[in-house]
Amino acid sequence: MKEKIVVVIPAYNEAKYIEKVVKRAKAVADEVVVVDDRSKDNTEAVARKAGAIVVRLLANMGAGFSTRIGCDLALKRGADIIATIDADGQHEPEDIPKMLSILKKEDLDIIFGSRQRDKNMPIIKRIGNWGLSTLTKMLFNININDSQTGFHVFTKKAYPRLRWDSSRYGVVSEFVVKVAKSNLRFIEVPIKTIYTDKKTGMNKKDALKSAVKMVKWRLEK
Amino acid sequence: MIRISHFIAIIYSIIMLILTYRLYRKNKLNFLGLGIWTSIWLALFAGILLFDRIETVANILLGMRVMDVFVFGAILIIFILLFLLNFNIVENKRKVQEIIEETALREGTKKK
Repeated sequence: MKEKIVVVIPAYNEAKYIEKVVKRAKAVADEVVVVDDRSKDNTEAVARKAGAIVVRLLANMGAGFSTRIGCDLALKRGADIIATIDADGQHEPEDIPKMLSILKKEDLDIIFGSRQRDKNMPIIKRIGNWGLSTLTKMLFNININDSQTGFHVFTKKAYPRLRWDSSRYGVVSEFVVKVAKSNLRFIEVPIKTIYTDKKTGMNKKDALKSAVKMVKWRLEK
Repeated sequence: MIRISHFIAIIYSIIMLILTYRLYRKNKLNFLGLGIWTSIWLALFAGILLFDRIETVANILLGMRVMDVFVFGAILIIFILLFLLNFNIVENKRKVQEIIEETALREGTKKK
């Protein structure tokens, strides 16, 4: 029986990019779920027109919350495989089939799309990414190069063990922590480093909060 | 002898008592809230009016000046209120999240 693949895209003010992202995702998945985090632009209408199943939240809740709602919804809609990607075109949906075949071939629970910290990544984000990834390695003894990626492909069986509480950007760190704590089988697959908008995404304050939270999660172990 | 500070405190207590009662009548405060806040304003009111008598009792029983008792009591009350307020905020945030989550999932499941 064919597995159902659902791509989950959390979106906030992404009307400029969402159409292309949805159309490209639709080409490789059975369904595309866009969770509009109460955007001020017409992200919802553009995504719907592009063919996505769109849910608009009643209030702005953050990327972590939107992604969790999207994944819950994907499961309710019968997903066997869930892929999460960003709405701003940072991730190429065309990588999903390649990641999926590795997932099946290696009998893994999850695949991380891993970006290189090269010149395509703004210098401040490169430092932040290196810092948080190193901290994750040290605290949780997990070998991961890009702990801050939002590109994941995982099975429906793995999701209950991954389901996170973070509402904002801390979600990507919590995701890795859950993988480490649950002993889920994973690998990283290299993906292109694309930054469409260098000012959006995690800022210094979010990075600091993530670092503090990681120490807290380590102590809770 | 009534000093200006006593006068201000008494007017303040009376205004707060009236405000508390009006909020209760408008259902913006429950019965427990009415009780707690009324007690606080009445204690302040009585404390100001009976300042000299309380001074004597405070000296004998607690070895403190009455103003010190007031300040100490006020700090304790502020911390209790902050704690309860924080608890309420966390609880309300959780409820709001649940509502948003349920609504989103209900809507999303229906869509084709």
